[in-house]
Amino acid sequence: MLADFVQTVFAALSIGSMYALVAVGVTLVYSATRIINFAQGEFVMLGGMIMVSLYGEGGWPLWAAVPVTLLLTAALAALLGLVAYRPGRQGALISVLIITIGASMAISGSAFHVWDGDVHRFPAFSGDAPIKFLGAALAPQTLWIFGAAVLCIGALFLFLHHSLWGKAMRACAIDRTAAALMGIPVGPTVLASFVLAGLLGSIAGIVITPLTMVDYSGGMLLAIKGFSAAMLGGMGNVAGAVLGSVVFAVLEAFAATYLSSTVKELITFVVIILVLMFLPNGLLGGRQQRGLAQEDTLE
Amino acid sequence: MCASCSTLCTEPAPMPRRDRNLWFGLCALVLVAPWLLGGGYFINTSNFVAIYALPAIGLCLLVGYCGQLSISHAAFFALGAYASGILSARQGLNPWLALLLAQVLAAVVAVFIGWVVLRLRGHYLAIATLSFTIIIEVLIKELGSLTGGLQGLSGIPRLSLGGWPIASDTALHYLLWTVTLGVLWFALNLAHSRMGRAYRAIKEGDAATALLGVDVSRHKIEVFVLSSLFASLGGSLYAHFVTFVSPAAGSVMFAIDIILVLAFGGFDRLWGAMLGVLALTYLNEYAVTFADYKRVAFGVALVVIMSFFPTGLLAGLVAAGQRLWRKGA
Repeated sequence: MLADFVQTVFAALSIGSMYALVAVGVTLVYSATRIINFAQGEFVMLGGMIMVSLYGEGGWPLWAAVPVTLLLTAALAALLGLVAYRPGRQGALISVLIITIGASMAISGSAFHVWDGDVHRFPAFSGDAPIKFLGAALAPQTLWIFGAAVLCIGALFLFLHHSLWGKAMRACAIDRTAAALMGIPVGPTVLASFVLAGLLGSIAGIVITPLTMVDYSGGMLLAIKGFSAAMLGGMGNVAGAVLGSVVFAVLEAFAATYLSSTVKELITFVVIILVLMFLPNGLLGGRQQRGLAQEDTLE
Repeated sequence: MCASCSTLCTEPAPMPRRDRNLWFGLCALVLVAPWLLGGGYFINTSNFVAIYALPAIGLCLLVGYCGQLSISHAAFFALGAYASGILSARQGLNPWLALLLAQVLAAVVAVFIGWVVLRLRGHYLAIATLSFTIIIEVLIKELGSLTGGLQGLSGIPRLSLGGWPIASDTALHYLLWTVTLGVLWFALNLAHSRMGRAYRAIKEGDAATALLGVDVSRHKIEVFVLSSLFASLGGSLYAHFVTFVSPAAGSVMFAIDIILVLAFGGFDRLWGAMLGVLALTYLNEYAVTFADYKRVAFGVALVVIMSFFPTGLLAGLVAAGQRLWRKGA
């Protein structure tokens, strides 16, 4: 009994860390641009796939493979930012949404041609020998995943609140016009949010692939789960994104252990619809302005 | 539905002459198509055009006219297809009755889902409807004893007329296109009726429309249900036409395909949607070598079209052409 419980907590830990990395990326881009980036999950897929080629099959050392992987995905994220976000675009919520869906299809389709349709993985960073704990087995990679999530999100938090660039990003999120009037270069700041989101996704892909494996088509579903988590916590709020991810991960892990994997898949999406109905601003979003999405149009 | 019927009847819908002429032109084309296309493969593909036109017309009304982006049309298509298939193949119901009951079921589900999600707007509506599509997709795959799971549901009987199953491509051609032309006529009328005007007002802004005395949430649910019904009707016809349904009918990919049709033809153009369906269905059928690259090509097409023609490719080109023409004259 206890072993089952502890095992489930471990599962929740690794899923939750991955969702958190994706959800924080979604929230960053949303704050800066009011764009929900359907392609966010593709960065996770790419992070995993590029590592498969460099580290798994190419035999590169970790210290060389990781930076190159991050660099490549960051470049792609910047490109996506340039395509999806254009300051002058009027009232184009639907078209931007479709652009990111299209980008997601284009990236995953290209990945199919660059690699193939198979499922891949590469060896875990500290071996596969499980650590026994209260009768449950903890894969050492789980610690890497958790560590990476805590470190990255912690660093991001410090960056947003204690650096000039971070403050500029937050200013842009609050009011882009006012930020521009204060002399903040809005364009580069928006681009930076895409790059940061790409990096977070890529890091998630790098640490999670040894556990969950990766194939070309998994990105879209991951993106949907990521921003569902972000929305659960309250869109545009880093702490909320983390909280939402934890809630989702715990729900999914316990549903998978104690109910069935079908229920696990359903639970996420039923929760999304319920949250949207009753708490449209999310758990941490406050209730003052019902029916969010007042920003139907981009400025 | 009664309230909306009375609105429709008391307000004679002045469908523009151009739309009416185009519609009669399409009727004539459908009538002679079996001779023109010489039966066989071409006609078969044209039957798929008629079927896929139904969800596209529905989505066009919802997105283009009413401004509510829904990613749930594949789910309703699958709902119609599976309900029709299960009722006729597993329960042995008459296919016509199965088709009718499937629409009733889809309508009930659409009213409920519409009531739940239509208070949301923009991204939130898109994600809520997308969640619904994923729920349906998972259910289809997991409820194997009912739906046949990943193998799909086969052995669905064809529709029959006076004891004779409608099986030949030509007979199916007339049946399917009669339905599609009827739905198109209805949609064209609706678009120019009092309700159609209300939908366009809602697209421009909820608050202002409500201020004019239009019951915004009722109209939204109305158009959502209608639009979902068109999709489920398409699904039911698909089931009895192909006699087989697979989970692909309810997949997110198919939902995106329907959106792509509108991105190609124009979001607020019913005729554009028809052309979009025609182009993409034939493209899918005949460019077999292209199938490998479909995901990349469609993805890139979506990005490029939406970047340069946010109202849709054909609609954007027509508008650009008109500007040039006026400048020349």
